[in-house]
Amino acid sequence: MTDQAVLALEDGNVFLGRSIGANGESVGEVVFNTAMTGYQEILTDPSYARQLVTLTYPHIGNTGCNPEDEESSRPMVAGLQ
Amino acid sequence: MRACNNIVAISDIDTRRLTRILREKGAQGGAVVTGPSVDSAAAIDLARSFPGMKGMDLAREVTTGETYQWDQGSWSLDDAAWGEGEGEAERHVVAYDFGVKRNILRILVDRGCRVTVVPATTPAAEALSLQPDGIFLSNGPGDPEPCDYAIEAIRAFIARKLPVFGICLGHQLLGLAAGARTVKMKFGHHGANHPVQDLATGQVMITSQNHGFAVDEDSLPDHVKATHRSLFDDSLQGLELSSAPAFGFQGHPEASPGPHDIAGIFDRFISNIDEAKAAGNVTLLKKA
Repeated sequence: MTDQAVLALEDGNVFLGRSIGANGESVGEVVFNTAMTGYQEILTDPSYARQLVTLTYPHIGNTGCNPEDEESSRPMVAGLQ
Repeated sequence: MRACNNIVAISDIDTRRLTRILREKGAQGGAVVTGPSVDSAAAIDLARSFPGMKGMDLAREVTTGETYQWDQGSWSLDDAAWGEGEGEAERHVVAYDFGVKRNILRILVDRGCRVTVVPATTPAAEALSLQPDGIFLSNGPGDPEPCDYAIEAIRAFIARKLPVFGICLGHQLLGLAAGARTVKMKFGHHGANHPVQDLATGQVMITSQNHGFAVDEDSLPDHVKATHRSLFDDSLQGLELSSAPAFGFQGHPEASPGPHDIAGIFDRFISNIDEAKAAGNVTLLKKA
């Protein structure tokens, strides 16, 4: 069964969706990134620490991940939507 | 990978609506909650518990614990292998890690630098004892203002007229060290398609961007010149000091991801290092 997921904003807006990562909760600043490529580099960029990153481009996840494109030793974002 | 790294992620939401809200109201606190069942009201409370990025020193959290050498160059598609840099790597760069992206370090190696990466809180005296030919100030998360340890170190490098190059947070810290102010932006710049103009040549370059704070151009002291500006919102994208071979760029010339239009800015750092070495500035300092 697919787990549930919710993104809540401090202004009270709520987005219900589907969980595609770990189970748990995470708090941060919600930002958006408009890049059409490079989600692996974005997720591993330490500058995104404590940020919940919105990827505005719809085709996310269809090229997988590879060790050559890590920008640090692990994903650094607080969360992904 | 996701689960073992403990990162929460949500799919199947209207990211256009979300982005419009962020553009109108600005970046804001949020919470992602996942599991067999979720409670929206509790998630809103959690989102409101986020204190905001202002005043948050995150460089200290993501920096390396120990000093290390970096000797890997860029990936070569022709050779299907990592590059090893050019020549004897006669330039020694001490790179302050405020949350550094590996591609920056690779580009420095490509350009003939031997790179020593040091923790964000490394005092200037300790960095100088490594006998650097140039100081690199990395990108990183959070607010630059509370990073007083870095600002103090950068002031020492500027005073010694060591070549300094800052990217992103490193650029903001250079600005603060030079006497400028930084401001929190409404929703920042995060993307790989941002036009930036070189104010000296008029040339426009498409750049990779990722920042929520910026150096306020109006606050630049007389000895600091604006070199680049964003064509999205006219915010400051580059600065240089007239009193020292020090400059910074707000966007990401290393791309990764993004276009390589402004990769040539790394060459300027290399020229500054070579000029300082030729003039004997750096060697003299080493003896002092």
